[in-house]
Amino acid sequence: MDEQQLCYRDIASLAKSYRQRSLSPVEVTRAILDRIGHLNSKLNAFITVLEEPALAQARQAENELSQGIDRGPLHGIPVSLKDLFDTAGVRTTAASRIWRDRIPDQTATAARRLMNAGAVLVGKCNLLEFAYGIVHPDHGQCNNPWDTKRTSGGSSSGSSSSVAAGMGWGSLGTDTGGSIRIPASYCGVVGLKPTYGRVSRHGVAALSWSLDHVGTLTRTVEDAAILLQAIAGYDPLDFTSSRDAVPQYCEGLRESIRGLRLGVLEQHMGNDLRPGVADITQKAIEELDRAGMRAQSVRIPSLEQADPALLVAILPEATVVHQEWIRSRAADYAEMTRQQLELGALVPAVDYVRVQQYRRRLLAEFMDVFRHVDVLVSPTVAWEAPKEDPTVAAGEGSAEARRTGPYNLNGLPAVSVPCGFGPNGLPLGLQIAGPPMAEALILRVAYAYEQRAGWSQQHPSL
Amino acid sequence: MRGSVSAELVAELARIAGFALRLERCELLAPQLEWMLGEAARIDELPGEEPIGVFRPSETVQHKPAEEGSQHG
Repeated sequence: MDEQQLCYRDIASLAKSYRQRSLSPVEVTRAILDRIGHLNSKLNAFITVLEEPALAQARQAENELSQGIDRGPLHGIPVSLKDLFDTAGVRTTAASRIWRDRIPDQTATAARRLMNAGAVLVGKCNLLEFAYGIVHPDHGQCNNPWDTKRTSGGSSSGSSSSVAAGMGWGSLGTDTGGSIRIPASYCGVVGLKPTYGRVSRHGVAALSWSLDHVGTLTRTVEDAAILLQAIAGYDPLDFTSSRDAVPQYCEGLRESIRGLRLGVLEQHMGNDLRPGVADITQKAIEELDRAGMRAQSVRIPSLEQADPALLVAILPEATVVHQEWIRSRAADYAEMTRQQLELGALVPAVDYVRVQQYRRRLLAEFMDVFRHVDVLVSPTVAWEAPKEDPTVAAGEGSAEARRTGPYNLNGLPAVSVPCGFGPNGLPLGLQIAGPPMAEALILRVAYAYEQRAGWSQQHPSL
Repeated sequence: MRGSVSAELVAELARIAGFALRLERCELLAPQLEWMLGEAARIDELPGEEPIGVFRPSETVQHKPAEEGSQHG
């Protein structure tokens, strides 16, 4: 088996090979580290590569499996983290100069759970500075494996690029306005943002407390379910963490979607879609229709206000997080990050509270629609990967997050699954969203689509 | 519409908020703030209601049983 074939296998088949002893965690981890060594200069996906610790974890996994100690499907599987998840003893930079040398003494709960499930941490991934929409010049842009002259998207840029390029089987990211789903769409991978409170945010650098979500980037829907299983659940260290029981996400994945009701969000099929995107989304909807779903068009009455609401919520919350550094170390930020943080100090309190009122209304309107449909679909983004990431506080940044941001405002789960290629030959994503804690349902629909469409079998030439 | 925003206004708002910004930075921020406030005005059209995230002490605060002899039992 060549490196390319090995690195693009799915988690379940790799886990099976470990147990049949036809492959070993050490052998696979070495292959991934070699691949990172070959490709990282081209993609700039990793800030820190953990070669020796990863090999030590792989050896431990190999020893445990040989002794019959089986921690489940992630045991011995190489993964990565967006470099804003704290890792005890390992530098965590948030792709900033402010945290250039920061070594935390704790590990983020979600990362710890992934490690407890036996996953092998191969590295910490590049991102937009503090996940705030701008590349810091010290770290540089992370490139898209489908066209290295374009961005992988952000802010979970290195996570999406590395997974798409076969440099690991999954990566944890964060999503405040679309920062998992947007790069997933641009890079042709699966990006899952669970319900607010489903996955702990403890030990993860905050951008905007009320909008931040921890989630996964993987190449397949089943791999997303496996990673979510490992990280979901109550955490007393995060007071927004949900006590709802965690279901078995892989169990119902293969169940039929026949008879499920599919809501097509009419406003997200609008004329801001670039050429080709509406057609490709329509084909995906037809595929779900052929699988037995019953599609209908739906509207959310106040959806048009979601663009400004996202902006007005993020700006001041981010400024509160950064207020000491923006006073004392302003020059250490990328210029546009600095401007966004300064702008956040100027948002009137009345506008911020109005947005919190609006969020309750928006959630109520979505819940009303979910009385008539089981899931909602839309394109993830209106276009293919651009050359550079637009800033948050500008028209283009707002437009980029137009279809993802509403699910940060209302906290509902959403997944982006590859649905084809645009006119420039770059990937596009289909977003599938559901009611609170319906991760199993949206993954089931995404899985059915993925199996029928087959896009997850296509990989970039590098 | 909320009207135009000048660099001087940005400087004053920043000062009141506790941020000392030089005038050249305020010149950069003025058109952005004007655009942002124009966007925020779109939410004014909606009727108000109870905001999300209202304080719920029973859900938010972790209760610990009082220790014996505690003065704060």
